[in-house]
Amino acid sequence: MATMEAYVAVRAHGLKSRLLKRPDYEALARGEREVYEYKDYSSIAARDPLEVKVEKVHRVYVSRISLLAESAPELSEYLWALADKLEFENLKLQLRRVLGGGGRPILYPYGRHVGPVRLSEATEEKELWELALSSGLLERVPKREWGSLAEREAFVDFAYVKHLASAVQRVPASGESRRALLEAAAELCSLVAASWSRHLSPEAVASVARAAGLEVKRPPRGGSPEERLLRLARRLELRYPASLPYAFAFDVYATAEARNVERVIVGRSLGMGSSEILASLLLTSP
Amino acid sequence: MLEMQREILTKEALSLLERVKGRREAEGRFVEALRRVNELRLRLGEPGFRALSCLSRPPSVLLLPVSFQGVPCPQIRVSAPPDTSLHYDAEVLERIGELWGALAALIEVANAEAAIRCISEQLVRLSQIINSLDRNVIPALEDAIRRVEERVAARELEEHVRARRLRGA
Repeated sequence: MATMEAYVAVRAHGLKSRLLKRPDYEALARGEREVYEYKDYSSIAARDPLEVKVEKVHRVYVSRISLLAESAPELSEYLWALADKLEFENLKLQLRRVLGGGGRPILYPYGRHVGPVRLSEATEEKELWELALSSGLLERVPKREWGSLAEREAFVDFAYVKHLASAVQRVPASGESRRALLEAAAELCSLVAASWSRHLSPEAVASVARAAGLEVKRPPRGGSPEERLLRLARRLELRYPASLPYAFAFDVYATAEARNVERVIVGRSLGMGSSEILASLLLTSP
Repeated sequence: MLEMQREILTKEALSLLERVKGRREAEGRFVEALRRVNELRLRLGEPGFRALSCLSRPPSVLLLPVSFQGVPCPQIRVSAPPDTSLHYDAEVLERIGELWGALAALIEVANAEAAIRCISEQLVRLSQIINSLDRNVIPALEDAIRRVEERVAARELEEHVRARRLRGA
């Protein structure tokens, strides 16, 4: 199985070499280059509406993870679980729409358990939870007594971490890789707790995490959750350059690229200056 | 009477002009609020931002005719501010508050501008009426009066001459 892990890591190294670098973002933010000039994003057309452009950007992320998952079927359970975060995000997005009762959110173009079309058809909160439960996306639903949207959204975030940790247990990875990935999941749990502690009390965060089947350690300090996640990815990248944890690091970088490209496209469509756009990016390379 | 009405409307327009002077500040405030919302939009990501905007119920506004010294003007009246009760993020709530505050200030300026436009149009109409009266109607009437007076004077003279002739005969 170590061979398969090494193979996935090599493919991930190949995919990582194609990720955009700082000079690319600078050229994009200044308008010197267009996003469709990059091969991976060539499906984006200048005349596409903003929603379509954003959707196509995330399709690139999904296609990269698909490539990794399809190249190693034995480890695909974990690799797909990485991409499943988009489904959990979609659940939160649709929840806001259902509760708010207006507008039309953009859902991520991914659905291994429940696709964006089916999710967008749910018009009631109960229907949404039942859909997530029956499709296997969630193992349990939020408690009825939770009144706030923040608690329910935090539950979905913790449920994703639990989903990822369960996938680690199921894949036939080496003991060392498994340990590293479980540690990464635990750190991810702390980051989720840190980001929700801005909106909820520490007791509420711990209670929501417990309801999702997780135990929260003390939330980490220093830097935003996004920056801390990047630091975690860099650590795994250096320590495990030829095994499955490298795929986790690649997923963090690929997700950051999707968000950055989306920010450049949206920022430029809003007429924002290049310095403002660049300040909003999460750059993974010098 | 018309001139008195013109004077009152001019005073009303001048007082409204004071409110319009705040336009530059209101526009600057709105642009700044929008810039801060855009920053947040980039940080949250487009799907997240759009889904968050689903949680806000837009403000309810009405367009009503309001009388300014008898001149009807369309005015925007806010019947309900935006409903943000579902939001939990303090930063998002702050941005919504800033944007709504800036928009409310712009509505005030727009109302004043609309009222000034209506009053100005009424002033133009009043001036046209007053000018028409001053230059055409009143001179024509004065001319007619003069002609009637001349005619009356001529008749009186005629009758006076006739009476003298009869007395002499």
